[in-house]
Parts: sequence; structure tokens; C-alpha cells
Amino acid sequence: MIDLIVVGSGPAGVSAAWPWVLAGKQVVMLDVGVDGDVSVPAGSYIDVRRNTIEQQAWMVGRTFHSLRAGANASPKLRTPTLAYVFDGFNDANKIYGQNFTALGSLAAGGLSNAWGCGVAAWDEHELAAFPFDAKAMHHSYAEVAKRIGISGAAQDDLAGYFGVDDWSDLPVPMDRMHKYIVQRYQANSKGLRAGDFRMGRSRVAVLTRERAGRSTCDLSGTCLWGCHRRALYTAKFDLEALRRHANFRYVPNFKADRFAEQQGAVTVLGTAMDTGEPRQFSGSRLMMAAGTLATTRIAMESLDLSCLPLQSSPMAAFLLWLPSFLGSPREASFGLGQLSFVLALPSGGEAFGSTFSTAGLPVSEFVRHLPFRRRFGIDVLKSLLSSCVVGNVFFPGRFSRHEATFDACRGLVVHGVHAGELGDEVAAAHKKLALAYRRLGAWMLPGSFTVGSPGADLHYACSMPMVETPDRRQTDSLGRPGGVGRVHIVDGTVLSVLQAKSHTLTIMANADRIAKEVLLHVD
Amino acid sequence: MRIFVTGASGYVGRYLVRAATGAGHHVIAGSRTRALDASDWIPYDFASPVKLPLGVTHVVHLAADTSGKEGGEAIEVRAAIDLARATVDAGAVFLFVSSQSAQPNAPSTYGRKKWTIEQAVISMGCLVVRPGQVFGGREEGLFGKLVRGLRRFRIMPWLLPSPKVQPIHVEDCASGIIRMLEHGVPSERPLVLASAPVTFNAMLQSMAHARVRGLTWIVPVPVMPIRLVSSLAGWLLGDRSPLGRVQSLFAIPLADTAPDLAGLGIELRSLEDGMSRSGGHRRRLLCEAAAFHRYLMKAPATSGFSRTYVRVIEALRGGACLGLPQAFIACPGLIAAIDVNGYDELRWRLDAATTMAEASPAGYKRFNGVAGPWPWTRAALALVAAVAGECLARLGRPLVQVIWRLPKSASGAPGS
Repeated sequence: MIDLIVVGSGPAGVSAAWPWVLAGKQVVMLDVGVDGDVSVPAGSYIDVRRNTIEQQAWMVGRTFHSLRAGANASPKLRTPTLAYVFDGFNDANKIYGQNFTALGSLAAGGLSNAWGCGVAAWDEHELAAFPFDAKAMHHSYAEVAKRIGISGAAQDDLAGYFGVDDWSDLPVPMDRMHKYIVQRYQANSKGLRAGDFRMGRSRVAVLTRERAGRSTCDLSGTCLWGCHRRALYTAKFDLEALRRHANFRYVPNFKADRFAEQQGAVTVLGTAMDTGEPRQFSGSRLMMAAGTLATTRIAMESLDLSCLPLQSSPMAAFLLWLPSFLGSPREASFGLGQLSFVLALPSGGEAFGSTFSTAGLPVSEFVRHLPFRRRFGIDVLKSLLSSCVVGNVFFPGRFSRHEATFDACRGLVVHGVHAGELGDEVAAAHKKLALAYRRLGAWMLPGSFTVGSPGADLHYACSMPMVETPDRRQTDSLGRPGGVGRVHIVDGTVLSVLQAKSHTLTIMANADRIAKEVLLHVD
Repeated sequence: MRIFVTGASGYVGRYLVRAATGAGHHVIAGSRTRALDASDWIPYDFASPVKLPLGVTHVVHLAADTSGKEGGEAIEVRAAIDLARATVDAGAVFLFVSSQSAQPNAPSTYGRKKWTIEQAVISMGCLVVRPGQVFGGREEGLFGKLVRGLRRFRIMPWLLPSPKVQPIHVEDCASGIIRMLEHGVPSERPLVLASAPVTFNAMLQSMAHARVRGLTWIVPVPVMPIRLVSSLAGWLLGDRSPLGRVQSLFAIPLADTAPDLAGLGIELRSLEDGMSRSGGHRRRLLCEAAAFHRYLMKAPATSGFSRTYVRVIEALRGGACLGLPQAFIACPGLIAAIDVNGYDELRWRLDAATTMAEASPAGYKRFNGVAGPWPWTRAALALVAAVAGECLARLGRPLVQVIWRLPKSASGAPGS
């Protein structure tokens, strides 16, 4: 008899599987499990770009992947090395967006193959809406953080905000522009803090200390494409480790469609991806971790729900210019968040964002957004971009009002809606950020502050939130939908609220918490 | 439409079947040998004509004996008229593909029998089309004979004075025929499907340039003696004369085809474009790639870039070229004036070209610059220059728009 079935191999799935595998239980993980076939450039981005002739395969794609994605899509969606992460998800799961970027993954490791590696622990206040004692998460945060390897610990203004420094290694070195910003911040921090702006090193799931089978970040700057040194965490690494355990079985090529409970067991019904034949697995318990959109669909199908709300973090991106670095040469640097900031919002709550080096990004990504003809746009960026950093800012999920419903053909359509009051919050954040960075010697380029379309952040969550007494559309503290006993939803679907702060570590810790509690107290 | 095509395995027939099938029509091919692209095939021969297949809505009669052998004319004429009658009786549309050489007193049997069939089918209310000098694509028909002749003898006869012909690319001919079927309105006279007249010498020259590698000798040939010899041969040998078709060449009545083409709404490709093996679009796309590369990179395109660009447009944008005028190809800096919002297809292609151009060491250098002395000053000056260029392009836009307004077909994204 299978003790636990886990659907999905992303961050939540592996986090839910670990405690049961280590307890010696029989665990089966069901997954589509596709993998990529375009290799990530090995070596420094700048060196590879300067010296190797063959760049089309990973920059454009053999089948022109980067040209197929829409002009307004995020650079990640245009990256040929990440094509496999997103490919086929919508058609396989019949999930579509209306005014909403509806993405998911059929890949082993799920969306963590393309994530920004931001990690943070949510504090008691941020977990207040969750139907359990926030202290219950502390141990899980520690466990997950130690397992995946995180860095960024620093005695700065955000140490308390991130709350992960006890388990973090030293940060990845910053580039010269970020160092300059930090120096200016240290000189001006009082005034900035008074203006509700705090800044510190980004805490990221990136190695600065060697681990088995993974090397440290060497600033090669290919982060957008993936890391050939395996310094950036993806759930694939946990999957590899899990598969070394005899009591863990990984079943790829399986797409879950629905689940059903019957006398003391739960059955997952699905489809073999290669043959299209129906397949099913039964076990004592089921943990759903197919990613928020897929899990939401499977739950709606299984529980006969026609409509669920959904949240995501509205986001915006902007470009900062540091005039004193004009003309400076390109510098090999870390491609993910180097500095992060927290900004108090007028309506209460906080926005969270990070700034990144532009050295490892294709310049053509910027050319299309510039109010210049391309020829002159390239001229401008050639001179300007090496003195720019790019930033993003996320807003809390409460500013989104998305809704998932079935259409006539049983496709799940997510209707994207941003709350009306978001406009004012964004405008206020825009103004505050421009002022704060101006004091840090960085000009926000006019017109560069761009709000993403609904869902573009991919931080989908809260479609079946954990509450004290759930109905069928909600879940209890163990992720069980009301009236269901053996099915636990452990991914972003069940977050009770969605903060602007990075949420992946919270999803993983919550999956770990649920798995342990069910193991110890329920079974 | 459910179209029955006779002569489906011939030069024009193959292209017609492919174009009609590609346009979503059901095609029943009638020929002596099997036509591969058709939905269905039935054997068709003048000697043993078949019954009209059931449910056919349109018939295109292309089958013709071009061998010049004696004795078959009556059978061929009878077969055509019988098929036309059967089609009309079945309530379907009959289109006869005739020839520009069709005349009551044509020097060749070919021209005379085409004339006879034309007269018969027009009286039945059928459609008649006279394609001009068909060229391009596979080396078949008269086009194939001429190309092979040039290739074999390495001699290009330069006729003095040159007769004139009205060429049409084989694919244009096929799409023109389909357009006629779609319009379906019979007229009292045959419709001529051909471009404006060019000299036969120009056509041969274009053929030699596009299809024959290496040197071809130009040999001036006075026309008078040829005409004398061919007339004599015709008088002595009748239709067995191998110079019968040459004789026809001098007797082609030239027509103003522009109104008919406009009525059908088709635009014919140029001789130069059509002669190339890809039918012209590759060559034009390569020019487009070169112009975009020079515009973006300020350097000549590498062959790798151009080839990839063509593959991208074929794979993702349907393969059509934008139709940039020669001025933009010759002076790619002018593209700055039309590189603006609103021209969606142009924007898409420039974005794609930008992405592709960046993915190379030269692209890295162009997009990121290189270190040098006085970096701040150099960068500031370069910024000023870029802004000045942008202002100039904005000011020059109204002027350049006089040269080119983007064609309607290119302003929206074609199906990918």
C-alpha cells in the first residue's frame, strides 16, 4: 500500500515528500516530469557572448522560441533554455487566461526552474490570517532553508524583514553600481527610513558555500538562462535526492486530472502523457502540489466546484540610471536580486522589490520598450545600459480580484482583474521609489515604470485558502478542503493571504509543516 | 469548391492542384499519371474520356497535347467540348485553359485547336483563360525546354528584333485560375492572365541569369531569316515542323491585361523574382534581411543572419516579404522613418531581427559597446548623437512616407 501520493515535483511537492520519505513511509510522486534539451551556456555570460559564434541556439532557440512569445511577455518566457518549463502546460491542463497570464509547468521541478530565487520568512503578523500558530512555521522555515541552501545574511535594515539570516550564508558579491547604492543608502538611511523606504541585501536561494553536487555562484551572470554550476536552487535537486531513497518512487509521464476518496483510501485519476491512456494510483493519503493553477483545476474538478477566487501579486518593473557610471564597461555580475527594498504603502501594508544588474540580460529586451526607433534605441542602450540597474516591485495579493471558472468546453479560464485602488497604490509607490532612488544617486528613467498585466508575476495563490472552519471552497490548517479527509493541498493554492514579500519559502515551509503534522498527529 | 482538374500532372496542373488543395478545396485530379497533391485521382485521357465525377462544382480543363504530333486534334477538341457540355449539364462551372496563341489562322495546329475549343465553350457560357508565357518553378513545359536548352548549349540567342511575350509565373497562373473560379462570372471573351509585354530576349536573359550557372554566350540572331526558314518548313512539313512554336511566338497578339488582373484582384510577381528557384520570395526576403541588418547593426548582414531571417519568416510569418521599395533596400537608414508604431508586421520583423542580430559576438559589440578612453565623454556624445538621429528620423518621416506607404497586407500579422 502506498502511504503517500504526492502530485507534482515542484518546491511544495518535494517539501511535502521529504518528511514522509525520511520517516520510512512508501511515497509515490506523480509528475509529468518533462526536461529541457537546450543547454545553458557554460562560463561567464560576457565571455560567451563576446567569443562564441554559436549563440542562436540558446538566445533565440532552434525553433525560434524567443520570437514566438509575445512582445510583452517576460524575458523568461522568451528564453530558449527555459522553454520546457512552460511548454504544453495550458493545453495539457486546459487552463487559459483572460486578461491574465496563466502559466504553469509540466517540468520536473516545476516553476522553480525559472524562479527568481527570492526567499523570506513571513512573520507572525504576516501569518496572522493563517489558522494555526505562526510558531509552527518556524521549524519548517529552518528545515527548508537549510535543505535548499540560501545566502544573503547581512546586518542590514532588512535582516528582520526577511527573517532567514539564521540559516543563510554570506551574500553573493554585489556589482559596483549596487555597492554604490548601498554606500549612498548608508549615508542617507535615516531620511529614507522616515520616508518608509528600507533597503538591504536580497536573500536568495543561491549558494555561496559548496554543497554536495552543487557549486557556488561564480558571478557568471547567466542566471536568466539557468546555472550550469547548479548554484541556483530548483526543486529538481531535491527530486534527485529523493530518488536515492528506496521508499520513494517517482512516476513521470503522469498528468493528474482528479482525485476521489473512498473507504480509507484516496485515488488519483489521470492520464499517461505518452499514450493518452487513463491511469490511476491509490494510497492512504494524497498531497496535491501541482502548482496553484493546476491544483485549483484538479480540486474544482474533483469537488465539483464551478468558480474560485484567485490572487497574484501585481507587479511593476522600472529602470534606474546611475549617471556617475555612464560609460562604465560591462561587469560580470550576479543576475538575480542584489538589493531588495520594502516600501510602506499608503493604505497600509508593504510593497517589496529588488534591483538587478542588466549585464546578463539581452539588450533587445529593452530596445522594444524604448521610445526610440530601433537603430537609435540600440545606440542609446549601448551607451546607457551599462550604467543602469533594473528593478521590480510587488504589491500584496489583496489588490488582485482574479476568478477561475469553467467554460463551456470544461477549460478553466482565469479572468484577471486588478483592484481599482491598485492604481493609487502603484502611483504612490512609483513616486516614492523615484524619490528614494534619486537620493541614492539613481534616476528612474521616465516612462520606464511599467505595470505588468494581471498574473504576469506568476505568484498565483489563495484559491482555496486555509481557514479555521472551511467549506468546500476552502481548506483547514492541514490543507484539507471542507468535508475531505485524506487529501491535503500543500502548494500556493492554500495560502490564507498573499503578501508582497517572496512567498515560495512560505509555500515550502507550509508543505513541510502539513506533511509533518499529518505524519505525527493524524496517521 | 470540389474541382476536377484535367492535365493535373502537367506543368501548370501540378501547381494548380497544390494551390487549390492549399486553399482548402477538394481536388479530383484527372491525368494519365497520378497527381500526388490532389485529394483524389482518376485516370484521364482524350482517347477514353471519363464521366464527370459526382458532386464536382468546377472543372478546369488543362489537358492539351503539346507534342505537335499529327492526327490527335479532332479527338482533343471533341473531348474538351464533351467535357464542357457534361459540366454545364451538371450545373457546374467549366473553365478552359487556352493559350495566347489561339487564333483562327494561327500558324500552329496548337493555336488553331485552342481557338476552336474556345469558340465552342464560350457559346456554352463557360470561362476561358489565356495564360501568357508561363515560367518559373519546376523546369517543365516550354519554360523547362528553354532552360535546359540554355544550360546545354551555353548560347543565348539574341533575336533582332526581339518579339514580345507576356510572361506569368506558374504559381501566379494557378492562383489566377482559382480566383477566376471563385468569381465564376463568364465573359464573352477569353481573359488573358499575363503581365505586361517584355521582349523575348529579356525573358531569356533573366532565365539564364537565374537558372544557368556559368557563362552563356550571347549570339545575335537576325529574325528575318529564321521566319523565312520556319515559314518554309511549315509549308513543306506542315505541323511536323519543329519550328512551329517559334513561328507562333511571332504571331502572339499582345493584350492589355491590367484591367482583368485588377478585376481579379491579383498582383503578378516580376520576371526577376519569379525566375529564382524559390519563386522570388527567398531572394526578396534575403534583401529584406540585409536591409534590416544594416539598419540595426550598421554593418552588412552575414549570410548566417540572412538565412536564419528567411527561415524565421517562413516558419512564423507565412513566408511573404514586406515589399520594401528599392530605396529602403539600397539605403537602409531610411527605415528609421517608418520604424514606428502602427506597422505591426514591420515592428514584429524588426524586433525579431534585433533579437537575432544581438545573438552573435558582433551583436554583443554593437549592443554593449567596447571599452575605450574617456568612457563618460564618449558615452555622453554617443547619447547626444542617438537623440539627434532620432529627431532627424522623426522630421524625415513625412518625406519618406511619400516613397512608401506600407501595403495593407503587410500591416497586420499574417497567420503564423
